[in-house]
Amino acid sequence: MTSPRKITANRANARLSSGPKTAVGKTRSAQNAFRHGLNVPVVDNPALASNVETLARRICGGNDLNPIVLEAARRIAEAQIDLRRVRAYRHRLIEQALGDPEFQTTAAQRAQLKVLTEFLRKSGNVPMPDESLPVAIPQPPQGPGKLAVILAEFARELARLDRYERRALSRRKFAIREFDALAASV
Amino acid sequence: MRKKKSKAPTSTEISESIPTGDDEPYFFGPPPIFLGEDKAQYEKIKGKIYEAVKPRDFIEEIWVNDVVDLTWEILRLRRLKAVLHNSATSQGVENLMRRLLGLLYTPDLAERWVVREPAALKEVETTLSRADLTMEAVAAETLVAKLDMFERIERMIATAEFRRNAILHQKDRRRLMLEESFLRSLEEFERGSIVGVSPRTRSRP
Repeated sequence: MTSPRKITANRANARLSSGPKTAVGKTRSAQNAFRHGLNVPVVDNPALASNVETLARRICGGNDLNPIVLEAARRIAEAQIDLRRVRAYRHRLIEQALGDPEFQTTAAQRAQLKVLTEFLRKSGNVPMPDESLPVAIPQPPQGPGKLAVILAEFARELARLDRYERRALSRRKFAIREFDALAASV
Repeated sequence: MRKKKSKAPTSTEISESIPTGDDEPYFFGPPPIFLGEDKAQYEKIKGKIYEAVKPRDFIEEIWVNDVVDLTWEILRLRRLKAVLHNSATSQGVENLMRRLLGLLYTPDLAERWVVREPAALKEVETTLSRADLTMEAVAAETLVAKLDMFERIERMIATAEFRRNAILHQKDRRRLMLEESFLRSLEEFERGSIVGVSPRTRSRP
């Protein structure tokens, strides 16, 4: 069992680590959710909010718009637009890399830098003609295997997006069930 | 420690990448077609799935679009796995031959074997039979060379298949529930009609 002394120490330590202290730290942490904007609720974006409304009315199928049913349809629409945001983001992430002829993995960039640093160190900071560069410099991935390299490079980012997608899919599933139950009861 | 700079697009870039409007592609999102992929093929698959599922309302259309996109993704990943396997085979041959031949290994043997050069094919075959091995050993070596990548792709395929099946299951479940609900309200209506008939209006036998 945890001793009272330890509990007190834990509480004191927890009070010490209660987020950023400096103005710079606070500003930076305030931007945490805005790296890709996927944490920002759909309704907070005026353009998307109006589309939620249009989609909700479309889901209701132009029937008599019962406000309770329409509200349930809005929840489906929000989840659907969230899903679309995540998918658009993922698509763009991969497509940008696929379309970039100079795309290099972080590991390859590091290897390039290491080779070049070594090379410049030996040659006394004198730039050398291209043909004398070491052949060990990794070349940008080409061909059908490039997608595999991109998937590996963005594995962490893609896993994070997958979590967003899973949550949005779950929200949409339950919103549809709720909508059907309400639509059947009115 | 310096924070690693993300290569991911910013939220502004994402907002720009999302098409706007009130049309259906907007609601479903852009087709997940990458550079070099065949849009006609995607449309063909979409047509076939629409024909098979026959969506009954807008919610089902949303689901069908998801199924189409997930199917497209699964096919892409399966193609990628096959391509990777082919490209990794030369590495598998090289690793195995280096181990079996040691110093006698000629550096371009694997590349010549991939382009089916008769002398290289013969050399690989002889070396394998001498070691009492078959092409299965090359396949295993290929898998080992790219195990992480194959695993990652397999996981992605499994996730997409699971999501696609879950959506189809939701569709079936919903259709069943709507049918049951319709039958129930029909029964209630019929019962109500009978109960609602006034005894005075009923003719005596």
